[in-house]
Amino acid sequence: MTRPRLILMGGLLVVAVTAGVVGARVWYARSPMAALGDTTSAPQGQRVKVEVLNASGVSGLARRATFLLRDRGFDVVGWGNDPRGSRDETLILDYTDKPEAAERLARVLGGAQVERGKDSLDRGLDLTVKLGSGYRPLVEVFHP
Amino acid sequence: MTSRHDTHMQLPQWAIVSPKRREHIVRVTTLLDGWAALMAIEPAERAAWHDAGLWHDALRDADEPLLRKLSLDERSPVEILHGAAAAARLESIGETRRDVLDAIRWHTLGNPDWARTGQALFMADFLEPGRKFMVAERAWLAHMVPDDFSGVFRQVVKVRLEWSLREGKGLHRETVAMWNTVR
Repeated sequence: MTRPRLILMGGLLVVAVTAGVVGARVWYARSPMAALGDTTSAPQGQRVKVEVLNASGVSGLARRATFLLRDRGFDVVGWGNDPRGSRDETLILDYTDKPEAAERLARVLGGAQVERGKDSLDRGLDLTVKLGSGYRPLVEVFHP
Repeated sequence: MTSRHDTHMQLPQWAIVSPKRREHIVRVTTLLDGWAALMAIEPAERAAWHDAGLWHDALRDADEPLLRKLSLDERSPVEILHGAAAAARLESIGETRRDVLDAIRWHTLGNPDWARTGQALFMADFLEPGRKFMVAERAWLAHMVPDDFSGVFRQVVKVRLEWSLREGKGLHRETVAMWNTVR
């Protein structure tokens, strides 16, 4: 095999391995497995006021997510169904420009799209979560 | 040397429990002792709560043949036999307090005819702080027990039923009957 061919094949191998590693990391970061092993919590010393809306179409998810987010230090001040209906991907609306809190919240939920929300000062919220049908709650292990 | 705390939390010699299970038992019993003190209940009932907590999982890690032999139950899932097995063992060595025996016998399923001892154990088993889910919510409920014993009991029964349905577990007759007494 000629030297240029060897260099080309080596280069292709590096690209393939890099793509594989990046792809696996992206997949893992968005999977429930990531959430299972993840202990991300709200930023230290900050009160992050969150509203949780269920847009998944699966009954009870907002309540379960509320328990999880409170355990991780987020101040969930309200939860219920999303009056705007269902969606696939979980969405976080950041009203008060708290990108770190929004990113941590997304990690706790196993991945979410983050968007800047319109001003919500009248309700005193920092973030709204709209849980999509792709959200997978953590398994609660209980053996009495 | 054995401290007062150690003897207070001493498991029976026939107990078959892992170190982690022992830690769970101590947390449950500590929670029960704390509620009993805050509620200023009579010494006899306080002792019943303590003993129910200390003994409820004494055979939690015993093998299936022993559990079936003691519980005289060949059909039920093995996960729910340790309470009945421990109660049977306690009865065989002279324990006569009905509230303690019923609390231990039924602690995995619940029972509609329980005295307060059984209800307290059922709550403590669920609300003890070592469990990794609903940490903040369960801590709040545990804190509320001395002020609203029956209200928290109802909530714990409800949450445990919801968990069973969510996880696709079967509902046992006793559990449903218990819910019907508190709903």
